[in-house]
Amino acid sequence: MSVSAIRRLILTGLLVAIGIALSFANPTFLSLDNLMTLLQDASLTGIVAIGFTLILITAGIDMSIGAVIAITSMICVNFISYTQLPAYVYIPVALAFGCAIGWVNGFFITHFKLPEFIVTLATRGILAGLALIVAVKDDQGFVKNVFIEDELFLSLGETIGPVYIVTIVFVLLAAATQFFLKRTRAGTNVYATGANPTAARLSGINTDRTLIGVYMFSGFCAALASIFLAARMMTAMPEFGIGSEMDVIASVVIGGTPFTGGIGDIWGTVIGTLFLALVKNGILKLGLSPYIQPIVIGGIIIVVVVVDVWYKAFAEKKAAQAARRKAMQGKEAGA
Amino acid sequence: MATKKWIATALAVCGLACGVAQAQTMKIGYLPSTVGQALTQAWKTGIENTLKGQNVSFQALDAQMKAEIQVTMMDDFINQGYNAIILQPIDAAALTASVKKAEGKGIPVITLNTDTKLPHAACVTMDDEGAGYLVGEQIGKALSGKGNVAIIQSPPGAQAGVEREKGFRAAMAKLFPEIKIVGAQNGQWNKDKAIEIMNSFLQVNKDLDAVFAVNDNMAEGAMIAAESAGRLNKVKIWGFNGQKSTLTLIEQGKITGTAYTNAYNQGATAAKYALDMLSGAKKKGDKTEIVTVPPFAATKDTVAQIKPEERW
Amino acid sequence: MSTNGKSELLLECRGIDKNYNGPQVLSGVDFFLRRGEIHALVGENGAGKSTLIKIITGITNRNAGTIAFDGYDVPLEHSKSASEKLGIAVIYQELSLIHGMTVAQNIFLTKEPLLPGLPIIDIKKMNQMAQAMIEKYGFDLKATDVIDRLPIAQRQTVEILKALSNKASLMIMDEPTSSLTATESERLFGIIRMLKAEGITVVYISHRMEEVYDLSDRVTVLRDGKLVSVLEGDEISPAEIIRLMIGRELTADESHHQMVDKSAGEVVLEVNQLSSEGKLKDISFKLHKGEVLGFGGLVGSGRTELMRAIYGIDPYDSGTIKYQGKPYAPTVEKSIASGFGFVPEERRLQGIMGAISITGNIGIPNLDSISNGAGFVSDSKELELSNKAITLLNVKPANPDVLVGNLSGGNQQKVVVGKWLIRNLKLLIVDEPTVGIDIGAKEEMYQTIERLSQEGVAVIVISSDLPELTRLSDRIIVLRKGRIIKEFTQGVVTEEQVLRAASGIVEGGVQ
Repeated sequence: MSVSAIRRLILTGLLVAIGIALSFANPTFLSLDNLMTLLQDASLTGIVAIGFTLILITAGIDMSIGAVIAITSMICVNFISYTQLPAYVYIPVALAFGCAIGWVNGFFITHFKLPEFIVTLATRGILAGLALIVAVKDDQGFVKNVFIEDELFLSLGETIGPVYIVTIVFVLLAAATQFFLKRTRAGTNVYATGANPTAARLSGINTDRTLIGVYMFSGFCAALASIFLAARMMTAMPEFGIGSEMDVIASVVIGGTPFTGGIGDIWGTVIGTLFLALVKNGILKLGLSPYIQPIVIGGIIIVVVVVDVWYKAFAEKKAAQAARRKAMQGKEAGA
Repeated sequence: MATKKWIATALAVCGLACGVAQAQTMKIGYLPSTVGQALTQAWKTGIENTLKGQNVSFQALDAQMKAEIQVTMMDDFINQGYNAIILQPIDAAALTASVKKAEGKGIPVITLNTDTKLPHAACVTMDDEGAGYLVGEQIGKALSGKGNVAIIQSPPGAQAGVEREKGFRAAMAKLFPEIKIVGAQNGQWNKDKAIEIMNSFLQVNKDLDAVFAVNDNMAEGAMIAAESAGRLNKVKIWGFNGQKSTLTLIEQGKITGTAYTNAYNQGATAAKYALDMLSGAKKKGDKTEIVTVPPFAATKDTVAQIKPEERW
Repeated sequence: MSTNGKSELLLECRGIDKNYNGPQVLSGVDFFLRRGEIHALVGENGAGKSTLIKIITGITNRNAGTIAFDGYDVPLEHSKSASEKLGIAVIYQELSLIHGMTVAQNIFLTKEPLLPGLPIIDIKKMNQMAQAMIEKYGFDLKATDVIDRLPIAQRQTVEILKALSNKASLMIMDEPTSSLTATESERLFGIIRMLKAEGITVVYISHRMEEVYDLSDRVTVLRDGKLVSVLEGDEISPAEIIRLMIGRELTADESHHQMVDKSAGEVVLEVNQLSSEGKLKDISFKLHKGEVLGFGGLVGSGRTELMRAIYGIDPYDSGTIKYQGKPYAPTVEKSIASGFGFVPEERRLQGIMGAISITGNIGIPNLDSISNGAGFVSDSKELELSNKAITLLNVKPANPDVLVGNLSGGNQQKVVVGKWLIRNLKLLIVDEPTVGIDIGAKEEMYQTIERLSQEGVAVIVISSDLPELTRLSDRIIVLRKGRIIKEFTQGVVTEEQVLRAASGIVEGGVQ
């Protein structure tokens, strides 16, 4: 069985186990309200994680996602505060801005051959500062967190039936992205670019275009999450999303997409996101100190990665043995 | 897989049943911006003392100064079926949705110090702007209406800090037009950061006469900086809140004064209000009921009036 | 593809010039390919073979000259994708497949069959098409095999399938046998002949003269960026090709070398019943002072594993090792301190630090001799040491500050060997010492090994290159499936004998 399949099985098992344990410890855990809010939280991280999964498949990294969330929310409140434009006009503008940031990241990475980490760290800094500058101010120049009253915008924070809209969007986006990765040529190119960029280029793939596309998608996802976050909080803050990179990275890595590129998929990320959200909710529900949360998450990452490496070595050993057996037989037949 | 599902369902039913059985005790949640401060600790003590002997269980959570976390924790209180929530919103706008959600489920929310944008049960608040004005008056009088002052600010968007600063600036503009505000920087509510900022104020302004830090922690930081620069006797330092350590420093003459509020009393007021809501003694109105706890200018001359049991 | 009315030539390159902002790499090179021939392109490293190929495939652009492919005039601004559209394919030395993807995905990368009218890949159809191709050529593959799990030889067949799926009429193979065992190479030759029978032109680049001799219809020889000669038919012989390539004839008799009994010498290393689960079983041998002991066997027979165990890189389960008569429990640190040298097989991964200068590469394993008691490294001593190694092995360029990654394969290998030579070397283990390096450097490597053995160093040589093994060794041990299957101690050993043993054919039938 493949490493990712094994991991998915283990994680799903753990997911159920933790769920059972939590419902014992705290009866409100299994209430519909709690599960739906848990999913709402997970979906916000998850939407960003979907874009980030593609980044990791190309063996890149995007440190700017948190700052994209901040700046996008600022763009929205600026539209809300200073224009009469309806949400269906400025939301696409905000999403396009997220894409544009991704394009800038991708352009610098591909055109100047700069390291992904450095480029996106730089855009992160610039955007975080920019978010404070464009933030809506009161008459004395203090940052004012606008209370959003745009009905259409706020409706994005509502539910359809018991399910939050953001969760529905997350599921649809996950399914579409998974399909894109596995069943389209452009999706295949993403894997090829990450696994072996030279080979991908030699096979006729425009790896630069692929990379730029992936960073644009990551920017888009972060912007999308930002809009839902703002709708949920009914406000936007220049510090939105800053520091959320770690949760996103953790979700994706726990979901089985390694930093080495060429491997990974969206279902893994979905499970990783749910897992992380569950652990966080569990710590809260058990009344444990919130300070242990980063420790627990860090521990989980280490365990997951160690199990991965261990199983991969095991699988490789078996494959090598099989190949050797096969080669030996071939040799006998040939000689 | 099927077995697991079955077990999960069984457990769920079990769990819900338990939940119903326990519903007799009232649950009150307390959610300050962070638990690691003298003020929020004092509120907590005030709340706990009031709830003692009542059939009420009490839970405090730490939002770690992040609005997103505080919103998540509000959701958790709501989903766990708490009967009332005492909240110190990190941001007025960001917590409005959560407060609305709680009130929508019939859970009264009593906010501390920072009001939110939509009506809820009550806001028990220090009069930030008024107290800021009070500090402005005190400094202005002490300087006889002339001199240079600086402000150590709160983070942008932190409403309570912004209100205090507004009140202070209003007093200066209205009463003492000859006093110059020579600097204002964000000390992030934090003592270390305040030391750093005060150092730069002292270097740039050789004749700095007074500094107003919008909370006591930052005032203590400013004091440390001024003391090591040897200018403690030349610079008047005012804080805000009146925590125990600051009051002691005022007695020692190291800090000039602070806008003292009885935080125990404030916490107790909030808790009392919550209990009254639960017992039906108070009903929810159309507007948020604002309960103001009056400030008191504590200086070396007046600090003795604050009794030991009122210090936090 | 019909050849009616078309010229006999598939590719005509005339007067190709190329310089990379500096030295002239190619000057006035003519290169012609006939339809359906197997054409070898040979030359020492740096002769311009790779550059010529890059120009033909559009990876780099020429400065001057004309190229006509199948009647089409290739413009100066050529590109890789344009050459692919023309039907030119390259089977790379550094295999260009995407790991983690299946055979079918690799074959059809960027041209996956789609569902009618939709931008969606028809996975089922893709697998069927791939399987059909595999079966047509009788390869030992499944369309759904994942590349990572295939041995190198099979990955190469995937590359060939990929080229075939591109309707390639010209297939360029750059050192295709460098990672293959003898049998795998034979199978590849069969495939190449099959391609020829289909009318596909194959350009074959190799350092292995016997392959070139066996396979090629014509041979183009390049030297120093110029065309030297084109050989055809009877003109082709290994000796002639080598003469043209290097401009002189090799004097040493390469294929027949007398074994030399050196068992009278002091025993340097004694290995007893060494076993390691799944890798090695009951390996025992003695190595004497000044002896060159060859280890033959197929890839995967346990040769490399044995050396790694002796050197202390990998642990072993049971057995004993004695070094200079004393029991020895190997660790890498101890091995270095005891005067062992190890030149690993994958030099790029294990032997060199490409981003560091020659001086640094030589200095690091010799820190003990160039640092003082407090652990500070003396720059002047380090430089002295690396200059010594450079002179000793004739490293080019003879500049100690050059980054090793920028050296040619042969010179990189010299640096790896040089690391050890400047020590008080007692035992040298070399694993595939001449893979991917040119004839001249190869000869220098042989001379170095011979000189060391004369100086009393005990040498272990692992090689899949049988002429090399028989030429260098005083004694040959052949491993098979982790056991010693045969030891040749005297007389003349032929390549065939070694190969038969390695393949398990010994007196008394197959083992």
